[in-house]
Parts: sequence; C-alpha cells; structure tokens
Amino acid sequence: MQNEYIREKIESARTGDCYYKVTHPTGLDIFVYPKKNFSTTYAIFGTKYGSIDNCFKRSDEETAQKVPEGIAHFLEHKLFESEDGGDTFERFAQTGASANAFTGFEHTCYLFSATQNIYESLEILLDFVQSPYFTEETVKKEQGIIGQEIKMYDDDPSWCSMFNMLKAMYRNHPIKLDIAGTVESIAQITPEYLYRCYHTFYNLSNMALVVAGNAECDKVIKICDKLLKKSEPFKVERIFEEEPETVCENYIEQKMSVALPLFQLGFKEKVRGQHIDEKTIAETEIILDTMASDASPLFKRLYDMQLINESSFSYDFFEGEGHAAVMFGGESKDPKRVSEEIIKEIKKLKETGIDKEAFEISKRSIYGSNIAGLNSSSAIANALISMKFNGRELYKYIDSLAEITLEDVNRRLREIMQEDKAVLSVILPEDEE
Amino acid sequence: MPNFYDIADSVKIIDLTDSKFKTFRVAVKMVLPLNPKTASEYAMLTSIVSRVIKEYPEYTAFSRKLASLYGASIYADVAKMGDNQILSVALGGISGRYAFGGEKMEQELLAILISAVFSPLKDERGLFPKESFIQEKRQLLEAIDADFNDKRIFALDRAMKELFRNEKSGISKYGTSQSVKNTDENTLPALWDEALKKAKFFIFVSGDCDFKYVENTMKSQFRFEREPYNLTNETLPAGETLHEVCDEMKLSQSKLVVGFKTECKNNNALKLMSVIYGGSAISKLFMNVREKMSLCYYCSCRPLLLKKALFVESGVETEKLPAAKEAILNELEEIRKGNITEEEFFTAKLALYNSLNGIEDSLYSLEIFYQNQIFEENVITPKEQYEAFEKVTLDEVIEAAKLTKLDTVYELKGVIK
Repeated sequence: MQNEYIREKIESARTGDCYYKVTHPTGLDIFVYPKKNFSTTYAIFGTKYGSIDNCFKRSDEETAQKVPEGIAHFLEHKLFESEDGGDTFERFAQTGASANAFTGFEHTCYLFSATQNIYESLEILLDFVQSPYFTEETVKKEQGIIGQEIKMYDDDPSWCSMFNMLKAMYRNHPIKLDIAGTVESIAQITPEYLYRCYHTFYNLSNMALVVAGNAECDKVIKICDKLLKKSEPFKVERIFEEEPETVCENYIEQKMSVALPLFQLGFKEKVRGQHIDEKTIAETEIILDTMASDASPLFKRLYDMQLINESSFSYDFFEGEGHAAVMFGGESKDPKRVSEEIIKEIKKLKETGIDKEAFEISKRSIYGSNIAGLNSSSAIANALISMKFNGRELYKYIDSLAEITLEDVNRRLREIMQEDKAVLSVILPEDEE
Repeated sequence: MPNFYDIADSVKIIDLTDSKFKTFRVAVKMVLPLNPKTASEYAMLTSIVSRVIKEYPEYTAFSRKLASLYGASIYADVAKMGDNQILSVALGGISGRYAFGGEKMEQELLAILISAVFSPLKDERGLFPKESFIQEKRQLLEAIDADFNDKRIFALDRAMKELFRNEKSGISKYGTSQSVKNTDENTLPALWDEALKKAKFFIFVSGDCDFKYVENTMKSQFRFEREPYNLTNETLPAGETLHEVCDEMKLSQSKLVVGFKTECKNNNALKLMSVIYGGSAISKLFMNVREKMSLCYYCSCRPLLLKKALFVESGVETEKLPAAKEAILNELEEIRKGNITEEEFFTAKLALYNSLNGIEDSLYSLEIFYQNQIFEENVITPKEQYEAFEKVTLDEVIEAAKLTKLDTVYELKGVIK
C-alpha cells in the first residue's frame, strides 16, 4: 500500500472552476470542489456497489458467490444503525446536517448537506459508513420497512414502466432486477450476507469521497487521516451471465391505476468493455438532443399530433457495466404511435445525417446545461462521484462536447438505436368496470 | 438586504442578484384571487403566452432560438398561495460571462420575457393562436391526469380539497378537468389584460445579471392604468365533527393524509412545532411511527402557515391504517402534553438554521423564500428568520400544538390486486 498522498489540482479554463483530487494512503480517492462564497457543503461517501452486484468473486478468494437480490439497498438502510443502539440521524441532528443515502444500480452513496459544523458532520459520515453492525433482530425489523418501500414503488407507474422495459430488454443481466429486491428476496437476507457484502465492497479502494461547496481540501484530508480505517485492498470481479445482443420481447404492458398511459421506449445497445468514455457519452447526448429536444422536428410532429406533452417527454442514454440503452419516455394517449414515429425518425436521420445547424445549436444548449449544473454543490458532487465510478472525468466530458464534430455524431448515430433492439414498455389505465 | 419595492402601482421588484452564480433568472409573478370561474383559464394562460412570441411565432423556431442561447428556458407555472393563484412566467439562462459568442444574455432573454408577458402574440382574430389554445388545453388536462398518476400527490390534493371544503383554497390551482374542457378561447385575451391590470406583480431578479438594467426595462412596461386587486386569505377553524373521506383504488400501498387546522397566531412557533412533530429524520413521526412501530414507510408533516393548516402524509400498509392514524395523533398529543426533550427542541432549531443558511446558495430556494413573504408587511432575510425561530420558547411550541385541532382524515385505501 502506498504511504503517500497523490494530489492533483484539476482546472477547467472553460468553466473557470477547479477541484482537487487526492488519493489517500488508505486507497480512498477524495475529491474536494470548493465553491467560493457558498455557505453549503455537500459531502458524499460512496461505494461502487449497487443492485447489479449479486454475483462476485474477490481476488483473494477461489470461488465466486451469488447473493439474494436487494442486499446493496438493505445495507444502505442498516448502516444508519449503530452497535450502541443509536441512530446516525440523531448524531447528524446534533450538528444540524441534513443526511440521506441512496442506492443505484452500481453505486451506493451516503451524504449530508450542512451550513455549519461541516467537519464534525464529515467525521460522522466517515465513521458510520465504516462501522457496520447487523443483528437478526435489526435485520428482521428492516425487512418490514423495506417491504413497504417496495410496495410504494409497485404503485409508481414511471418506476414500473422503466423496470418492465428492462425486464423485456435483458434476459440475464441483473439490471432488470428491482433495486430494493423483492419481498421474497429480502426475506432471505441475513446478518451474515450483509457482513459478507459489506466487507467485499466497502473497501476504501472501491470507494470515493466527494466534498463540494464550502470546503477546504486540507481540512478534509485531516479528517480522513483521523478516521479512515486501513484495509487490505483487493479486486472484486463482478460476474454476469452472458447477455445476448437481442431483446427478450419488443413489447410489454401493464395495467395500473393511471389516468393517462405512460411509456418507455428503449434501444438495447452494444456494450464494449466496462464503461463508455466521455466522448462517446457526449456524442450520444448531442444525437438525442438534436433528435428529440423541443427544438427538433420530431418533437414538433409528436406534439402537433398531441401524442406527447412538454412536461413529461424525456430522453436519456443509460449505461453501466454490461448494459447500455437509449431511452425515450413520457405520457401519451398512444404510445405505440409515438414509438413508430421515433423509429421512423431514427431511420430518416441515419439516411440524411444530422443537420449541421441543429448540431451546433445542440452543442450550445448542452454546454449551457452543464454550466448551469455547476451552480449546485449537490449536482457537482453527484456528477463527480458517478463519473469517478464510471471511469470518467467531469471537465473532460465538458471539453469533449466542445470538440466533437458533425462527423463524430453521424458515425455514432449509425451505431445505435437499431429497430430490432427496441423495447416498448407501456402502462395503461385499468379497464373500467 | 433584499427587499421588495415598488416600480409601479402594486408592482414590486426584488434584487436577489449575486455574481457567485453561473446563471441568472428573471421571474414575473402575477398574484390574483383564486376563482373557480377563472382558475383553469389563468392556469392555461401562462403557458399560452410563453409558448410562442411575436418575434418567433413558430414553436420550433422559438425553441431553437432559446436553445441557441445556450439552452435558455422559458418557464410557465401556476401555483396556489392561500386563497390566491400565482401565475409565473420566467426566463433563465447562463450568465453573459460564459457566452462564448459574446451574446448580451440579459438583453436577449429579457426582451423575450417582456414580449411574452406584455405583448403576447395574437392572431388576426385578436385571439391567442388557435394552436396554442388547443395544445395548452390538452396539456393542462394531461397535467391533471399526471397528478392522478402520482398517488402521493393525488392523496395530498384530495386531502387539501377536503380540508378547505368551505374555502376558496379548496379549488385546485388548475381548476377541474371539466372547467378546463369548458374554457372558451374568446375569453382569454380579456382575462390576460385583466391580469395585467389587476394582478399584484412581484418580479424576482436572481443570479448573475445586471439588476439595474432589468429594473429599468421592467419599469418602462407599466405605463398603463392599474387597478390592483385587494388580495385576501381566509382561515376557518377546524370543524365541530371529524371529516373523514375514503377512496378505494387498486394499489399495493395505502396513503393516509391527516389534516389539521390551527388557531395559533405565532407562525414561528407553528413552524418549529411542525419540525419537531414531523419535519426531519429525527422527528416524532419518523422515529416513532416509522422506525419504532414500523407502521409506515414515510410519515412527515407539511405546514401551510398562510392557511393555518397542517398535513401529515404517510404511506401505509392497508391493514395498518387504523393503527397509523392513532399513532400519528398520539405523537401530536405528546407535544401538547409537553413531552418534548431538550434535544428534540434544540435539534429542530439547528435543522432550521441549517436549511435557512443554505437558502442563498440556490436561485430556486431564494426565490421561494421571498415569494412566501409577499403577504407580509415586513420582509426578512433568512438570517433574520432564523433569529426569530431562535427566540421561540418551548411553551410557545406546546401552545401551538394545543391550538392545532384535527379536522380531516383522508384515506386512499389500497384494494388487494
């Protein structure tokens, strides 16, 4: 293990901002993004461990292990309880910080936002995440609470629309599994499973700390020196069953208590290696913006046909380890028609190429969104940690946007959004009785 | 210190500019009485006037213009505040120092905002473009449907309608689906003119921009006679008997919303009481109803100080509804009895301090903080608001709870699928 700090100052001439990246001797990567004249500090301590990590092999072990679904999320809930019976929220309450946590497909993050007692709050954050304590009793209690959370999401039509699309798209990849698991899978979770996964993934070399806003790098490092617990680094290999390039089915629907249908149209994309680079992400975003923003002919056509509305129509490029998809979503009285029109537009654009003026306007627009994002300490912190775990860098991504050419995006366009890889997921109103 | 001051009769502006931000925003907010006869029309009008403008009468061309200004956005919104409707039209964009093409961002965006609000596009009939009317009517109906799709929002809206059943606030900010369907495009231009003449205007200028330029430009728009409304807010006490309403739906999780009315005149004590009751992850509702008793997944308190009302919202398993209701009411009773620890009292104030201290780091939070004071005689800063909370005593919190009475219980009961 190295004994030195590796410290870098990363600057952006384009935005006028800078941040510091420090690799701590314990192996933790630390990012400090100061924002002058801001009172709020937003800190995230996260691990590269999420709902898709159900089968893994440690480099210091011989065999792989499969665990029940929903452990990453379960762990997130349980870490807030401590051995002395105390609640971490009560500790944060003493400093005035507002704390929270979230679990995603590939990361779990613990965070706080504070305008005072920042370093005391940082101590609490580092301490509680590194202090697991699970018993049969506390696990049983949490099963009840998480069971209710699962039921809440079962009633969320946007959530169901998305997960139904993933189920229809992916045969084997665990991206199709609900982040919280199921009531049945969480019933199998034991303290032993929790400790096992904790000690596998909550290794500092698999984690990162980001502090944005009112923060001084040296003070953050000092707290880290005091509190980070040395652990032997090892590698974790995530194991996924082979996933075919084809989808399972092209259409899936569910009836729920909704007044207006919702849809998600996704295109399963090829995955090369672990994560996509900044340039490819930027190219894809420009394509989607030129194709489907409210400045696009497609949007106007769908809007004129009263098939979409401004407040819900969305598009995104969603990718991670072993999975990638271009998605369009929203509310519509006729999702199938929307899907047909989008596919028609994709075909047309692949033939004609993206219009140069639209391309230049998109670049400006996305640049503006990125500048606006830098107003917010929470947006910055979330972007930095997500990019860190995806092997990307924030300013490199912003600079890519400026450097991309029309040829780049037209080449990328031909690679993505193949019609036979499309999945339409629809939520329809219950039949009237 | 930011303050509202008049630039015309009942037209106030407030300087919230700060060069630490990379963007700016100018929001024009028009406040008028909530009226079931015009609620839907006004809800539609903010979107109609901002959909296209005279200079860009075609939708895609207008969208492209905004996109070319580094993704500038025009926002149209309608909200409720007490017995009033707030119509907002706002424009936001990046600060001029990031415009690599040298565009004068304030000038460009302010011109668009002024065109939309003060000289909205009309056709040869003297009406708003037919397409705008048709589309915004449709989108408003879909917005009402979207609120139905989100059961947490739906349950709260239903509870509010029931709690304010005898008050103007019982009207949705959009009106009803039927009133939207009944809107007549012929009435809209006159209604917009009436709003320009009679609404009370509040103009918020925030972020990195030239306030004086915005102020002078705005001032020059109000060269017409104004007859501002006299805006009121009525508050009624809790009913003599409990008002219980239950809807059933095919859902996995039920929603329970408990509505209270209060006669407490001390808003600071009421706010602090609501934080102790259910305003944080260590509040009585969260720690007891959720954590200790596992009766719900979420359980929090939302005060509406202007209407002297409080709501407790929770997501509950259907079979636990009666127990959750009892537990929610018990926690308020604990506060009335004075069962508040020193720690609960101290940490509630600390949470408020933390939240108030961060307001000036967000354009949205700043705007809402000052918007919430538009009916106050004296405007205070976040720091002054905290100083007021600091002075609230435990006795005042207990008194606030004693003066808060149960009025309505709304259940959205999940029926087994």
